[in-house]
Amino acid sequence: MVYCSSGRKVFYLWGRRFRKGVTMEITIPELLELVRPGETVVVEYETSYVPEFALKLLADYTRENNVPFVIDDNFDSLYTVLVHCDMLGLEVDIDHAYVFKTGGKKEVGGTIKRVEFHPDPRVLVRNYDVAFADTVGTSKNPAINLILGIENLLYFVRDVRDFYRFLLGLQRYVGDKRRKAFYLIHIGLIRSLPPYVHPELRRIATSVWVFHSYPTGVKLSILRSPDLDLVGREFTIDVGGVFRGRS
Amino acid sequence: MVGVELRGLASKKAVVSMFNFVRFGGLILIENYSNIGAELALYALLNYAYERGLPVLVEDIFDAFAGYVRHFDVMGLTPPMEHVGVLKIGGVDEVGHVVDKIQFEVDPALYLQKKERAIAEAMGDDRYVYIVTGFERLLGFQRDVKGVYVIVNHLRENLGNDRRMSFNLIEGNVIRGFSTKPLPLLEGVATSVVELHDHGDMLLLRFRKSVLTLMEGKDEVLVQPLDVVGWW
Repeated sequence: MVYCSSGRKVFYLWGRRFRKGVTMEITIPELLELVRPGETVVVEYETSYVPEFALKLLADYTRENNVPFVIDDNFDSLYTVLVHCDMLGLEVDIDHAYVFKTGGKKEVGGTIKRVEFHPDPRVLVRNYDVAFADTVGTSKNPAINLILGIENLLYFVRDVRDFYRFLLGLQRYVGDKRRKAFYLIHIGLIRSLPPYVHPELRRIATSVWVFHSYPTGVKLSILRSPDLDLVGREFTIDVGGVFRGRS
Repeated sequence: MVGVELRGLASKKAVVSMFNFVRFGGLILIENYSNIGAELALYALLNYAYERGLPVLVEDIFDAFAGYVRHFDVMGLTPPMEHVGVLKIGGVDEVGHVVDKIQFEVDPALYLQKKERAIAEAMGDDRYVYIVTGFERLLGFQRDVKGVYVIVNHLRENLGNDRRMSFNLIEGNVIRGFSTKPLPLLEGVATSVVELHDHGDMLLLRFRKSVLTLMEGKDEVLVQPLDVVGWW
């Protein structure tokens, strides 16, 4: 359980003491515990293997802990990430994952649900709603929902109103306690879109995480969180361990 | 009314007295550049109005208010809502007590006319706190500066409307991203302009123009977000 001390500079997570201003190492289960059911987390990263490691670590975590795993696969972005994982020598097992596949041709993952792509965001959002209606998550055991390649959908947006129709479609899932959603967003790609897109995506999110990678891991800065104690905290995640066991 | 303490971390008393400075007929523009400032400002405003016994009318443009309320839900915050009426402008997500719904109109003059009629019907002769959320989205939809001008001019006409205490809560980074650049026009017509910024784990209120700073000679105030959610 996560509980916060009444003081502001120190808080406790699984019996470990975290100080503000000090970067601490955190594990994936600990990190996921910080996310409340219903959250929409915008995860921003630079060019790096963040998507590959996110997929690997979330796949392992959900399988080992019996947490439903849902992947939004927009325009074969899941396939791309899987190929990269393979080349990195990361073994990724996503047989237990439910994949909402929008656009693209490469069908990967356990159970695949097709969301028919449509350039009009109103239709696309409706198609997605239909697919999501019988999601596997529950408020007791919310699904981990990893969203890959969202920028591919944003490229189809023609004007300001279209963008907002799309955005409001995403916003209606904010607070849906059947899931904890993680939107992986490449910061360079999103900045090449119209300048209001990035701040609007951050605005609808309940949490904003920014990742900076270094050779054997990543540093995570929490810019926003519904847990005010977490705002402004920094953590490191060591990913070297996932290679262990390779022969 | 003189003597608001603006030193160190602001207390609830200091924040409430800042609100007390706001006059009916004025327009306070709150520009949010911080991560959680918009939610906190809205939370404080709803509570302030409730404590003063003032009804609130929220104009929810394209589900902006709905978004903030969804965040309240995840944050575990429950601001009072029984004194709040919501006027929907476009959007699909209804939260709170919706008094009327207006389809989004391309012609801003048409929207303004419909909106004023709906407000008059909902509020009658009461004095009320008028909170607009998502105004930057409305301005972003305008194809040219002319549309922006029509909307801003309407704000100008409503200055001095002494049944309204108006707060316009906008996202600064979003409005600066629109090609029509409506922000300077908006700031020009506002009675007061306050910016919200992150400052470490605190929230910085920067008064860009305000009667308060003229009297106190200070234009920045720090508040601790964890304090704010504990005040009510």
